[in-house]
Amino acid sequence: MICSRTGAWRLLLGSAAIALAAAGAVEAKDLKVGLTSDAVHFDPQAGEELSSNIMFYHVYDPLVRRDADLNFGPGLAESWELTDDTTWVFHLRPGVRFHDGSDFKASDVVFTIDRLKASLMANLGANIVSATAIDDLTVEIKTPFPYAALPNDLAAILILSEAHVKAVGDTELDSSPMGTGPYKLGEWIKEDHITLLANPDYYMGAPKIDTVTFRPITNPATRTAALLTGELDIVQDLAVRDVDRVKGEAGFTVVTRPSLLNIVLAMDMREKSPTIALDKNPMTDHRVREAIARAIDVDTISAVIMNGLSTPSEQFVPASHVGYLPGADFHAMYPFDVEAAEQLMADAGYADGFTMTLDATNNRYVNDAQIGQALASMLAKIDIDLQLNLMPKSNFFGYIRVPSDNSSFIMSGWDVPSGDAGSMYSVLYYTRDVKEGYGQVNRGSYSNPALDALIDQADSTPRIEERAGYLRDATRILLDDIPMIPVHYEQDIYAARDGVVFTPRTDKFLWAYDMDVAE
Amino acid sequence: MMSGFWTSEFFHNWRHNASAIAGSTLLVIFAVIVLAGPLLVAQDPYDVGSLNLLDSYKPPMWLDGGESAFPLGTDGQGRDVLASIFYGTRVSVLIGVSAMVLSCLIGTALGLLAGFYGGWLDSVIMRIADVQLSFPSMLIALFLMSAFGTGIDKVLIALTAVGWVVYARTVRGSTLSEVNKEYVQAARVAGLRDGKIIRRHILPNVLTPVIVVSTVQVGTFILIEASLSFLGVGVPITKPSLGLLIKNGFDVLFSGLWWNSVFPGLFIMALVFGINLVGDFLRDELNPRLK
Amino acid sequence: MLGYTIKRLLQMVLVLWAVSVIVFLMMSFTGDPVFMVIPIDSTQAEIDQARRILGLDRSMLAQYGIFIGNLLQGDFGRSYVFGQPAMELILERLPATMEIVVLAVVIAAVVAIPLGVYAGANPGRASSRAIMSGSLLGISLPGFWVGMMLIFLFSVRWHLLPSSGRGDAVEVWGLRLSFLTVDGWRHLILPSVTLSLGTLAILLRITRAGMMEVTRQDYMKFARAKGVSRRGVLYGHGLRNALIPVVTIFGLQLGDLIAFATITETIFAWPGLGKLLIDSIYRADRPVIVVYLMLVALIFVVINFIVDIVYTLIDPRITVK
Repeated sequence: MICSRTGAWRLLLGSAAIALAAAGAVEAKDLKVGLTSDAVHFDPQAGEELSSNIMFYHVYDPLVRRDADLNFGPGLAESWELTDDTTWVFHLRPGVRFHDGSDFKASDVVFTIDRLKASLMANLGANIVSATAIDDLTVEIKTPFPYAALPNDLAAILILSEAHVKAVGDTELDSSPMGTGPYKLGEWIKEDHITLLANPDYYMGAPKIDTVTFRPITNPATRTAALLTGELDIVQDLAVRDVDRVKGEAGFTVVTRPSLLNIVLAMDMREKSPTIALDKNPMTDHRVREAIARAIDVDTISAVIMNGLSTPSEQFVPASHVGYLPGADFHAMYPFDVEAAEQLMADAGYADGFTMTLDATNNRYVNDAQIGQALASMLAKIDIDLQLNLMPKSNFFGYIRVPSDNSSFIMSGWDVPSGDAGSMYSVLYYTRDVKEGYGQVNRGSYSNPALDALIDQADSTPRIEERAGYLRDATRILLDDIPMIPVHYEQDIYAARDGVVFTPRTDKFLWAYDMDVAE
Repeated sequence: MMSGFWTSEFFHNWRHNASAIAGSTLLVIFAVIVLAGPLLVAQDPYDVGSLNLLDSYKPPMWLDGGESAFPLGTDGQGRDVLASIFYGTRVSVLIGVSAMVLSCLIGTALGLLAGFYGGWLDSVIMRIADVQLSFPSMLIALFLMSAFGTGIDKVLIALTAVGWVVYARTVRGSTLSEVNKEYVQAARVAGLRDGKIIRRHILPNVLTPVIVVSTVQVGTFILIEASLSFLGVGVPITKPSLGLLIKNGFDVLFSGLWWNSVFPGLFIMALVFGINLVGDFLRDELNPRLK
Repeated sequence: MLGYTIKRLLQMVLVLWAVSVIVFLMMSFTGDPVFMVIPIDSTQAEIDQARRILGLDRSMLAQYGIFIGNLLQGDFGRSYVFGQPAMELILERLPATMEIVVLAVVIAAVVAIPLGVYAGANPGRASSRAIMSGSLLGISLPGFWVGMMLIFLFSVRWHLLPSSGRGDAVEVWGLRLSFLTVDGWRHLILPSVTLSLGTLAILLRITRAGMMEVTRQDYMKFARAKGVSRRGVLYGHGLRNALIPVVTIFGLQLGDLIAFATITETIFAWPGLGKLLIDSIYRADRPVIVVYLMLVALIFVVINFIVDIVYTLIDPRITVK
């Protein structure tokens, strides 16, 4: 009896509190987010990394919106159509206003694309030849060849206000950004916090959260501590080792989602390999590549090093992507089997193994240095003496850069947020130096005319289904040939206090517009 | 006769100085670890083939889930923490001592030249030293490492580049005061070769401050190396020093896996503490006026 | 005095010039900054365009010439990564670093000088020995490890103090300062204590050594012989003289603290200069590194200059030459 009376009493108190809050008009909601690093830019054409990207999508909008699950739909453009193989017409949403109240027009789109082509981020517009305003709400975009994935590309191009950029100047755009997005920049104290304020006039409706504060905390341990001490509501990239601990604390939830980032091991296919002191590069032999693949126990790496928070990758792109080959699984084709691997090495004439160097980062991917060590330990069992050359990312990408004259075996990550395998295959696997814009990241110098032909065909059809067919065939060739070993997809790990309503996005872009808080 | 007396007083003082005894004891323990460490532990943490990922993150043996095979627990690769510490101590000490020897040789040579010959040589060497002293040594080392990349050899170069100045300054000072003394002047007038004067008369007199500086430098170098490794620009992860072990442990400290960072920290503290206790004693004994 | 000042100024220019040359030379070893700012699948044409935008398409010598030319006009160059003037980036973060550095110095001085004087005046006592051993321990600890342990205990275990960041700050004359708010103080304590430990130990030892030195001086014996009390002699005559070396070390330590702040700031996510430096090193952002190092050198030289002046004030027998 007493119990139920207290319960009722609590309930009463609770509703009183709600009534009080309601009486205080609209209660302002705020959210504190812990990021891994500070944003570098608010000018979306000045650079890109995750923290800046997160800010960009709060302040600006793209023509084509990419949702949390990589579905593409209307954004600032309501609809679009192909008028010929290389010409697209985009119809813009009427009545959209920038934060300063001015109207969003076709000329802003043209200005944005022109400025992009001359910027550091020109790569984002690589498949756009020109953009022309037909009228205030219609834009025509031309591609260099029939290119079915243009709308996906446009999801990464954020629209600037021509008048604003010209008024504040190129370099000041970083400190006074202005777009059509759901939030405006309130305050940016470098390395301390970024405050975003809701844009009540947002075209999809006012955001539920009024103030969002982002705090950069690089050290994962410190970030966890800041969440647990209540300084933050939600953190990005919870350290895999902290997951169990945070789960064990009352009042906190851990949210994970497989990411798009595929950790892959690229094998050198040249006749002579830089770090292998043999006349012939053993990895030109398919058996050696298969042996390496079979010697690597991706499940143990996932279970132990990643604390279960990674998903061994079946192919080079995730199942959601154009070009994914249903039913094919690299690790089912070449399952972990040390004895079979030893046999393959012996058959290829390398029973005594050989020595080579793995180039990998130590501050770019989740537990990258530990994965490197685990690989060394696993390959040691088939007598491959794997030396580790671990370096910070600032040195790494220049070091492994094509022509990759220092590298035999490279661990790196690749993600394809456009949702289309073609953009990955054309730069990673196309024969080097034969076609501009193709094969520029082909670090192992893999070359297969059949694959090149398939990519050429995929890139010359404007019809997405045909493109998907060519790319699936390409995936099959790659799985058979093993120019690379897919290891795993990282999982994006977030932790939040209870009451934060949050669904992680595939592209990792935390977006407060989709979030809510309750006490 | 004088030297015999001096020695006995030295030992007498040592025997009556609790900190000196404590410091020496610590150093003897660490000497054993450095020389015989691999024989004292079952596992070779550098032999990646022998590691088993399934042994990872075992707690120390006295806690639930601990095993006597891993007295202080294991790390994320299944490496025995105690074995890693013993091997890591070797790396730290190797770096500290080698960097000390290198910077001592270079610094002492330059200091002798500067003090003995003076003139433009002195100016050049001392100006370089001045420029360098306008930077905290930690910063210079950090900057050099960021340019070189990781590696024990590179750490040694960076530490030597940082450390020679102290020797050059100390030795130049002592040399200057010796050079002006009558017996050296007389030797010069008598036509003794410069090399001989330096070896016979000057070197013995600068040795005492060099010994005192050297003890302290080893400790300093070990700590700088640890800081560099903590920032990710020190030794490579395959052959971790104590500092790198702490850094690796930091990443999992909040998950309750405290033994990965606490134990290496205690070891580095004890090591440097021992060095400093002995260094302190030596300084008081050998040159009470030296600060 | 004037001659001395001019000499010091010239020396300073020399130091700054040397720094700029060395940094430019060394940076040619590091990663190519262009790969830090563009997507990795960029084509050669896109890479070339990025190099042009950043001014990296010229030879090292030409880049250095442009840098010096701009420098003489007061332009320190722009960060490759941020696109902002490097000097602006650094000045923005300077107050945060100075806050923990100054607080660390104050903590060190307040704790170290009385203890050092006590230990120096009473060298035989067990308490003095304990103080000295404690100070040696302080020198022997890796600062980053202490910081980790403090966070572990005070933030994670006991929930007493925040683990990171700067907390509430108040803007005064355009400077953001945290020590004016309660929350700011709570954030300041752990990083400052961590940073102060090494300096504290060194100051303590120097003070004690200075104190012991003066007790051996003849004038102390004279004063004692004249009947001045032991206490009066020690603290009246001795302290003043004992503090001379302390002043020197103070100056040197301030510079060291700025350097060690890099590590402390990394652990505590303190938004200061040190963190900017570490990030810039990882990003091969040369303009920021050059300006940072030149600024630190400048601070060092200025501090040493001030220390020399203070010397003459404390001890009239010393004249600067």
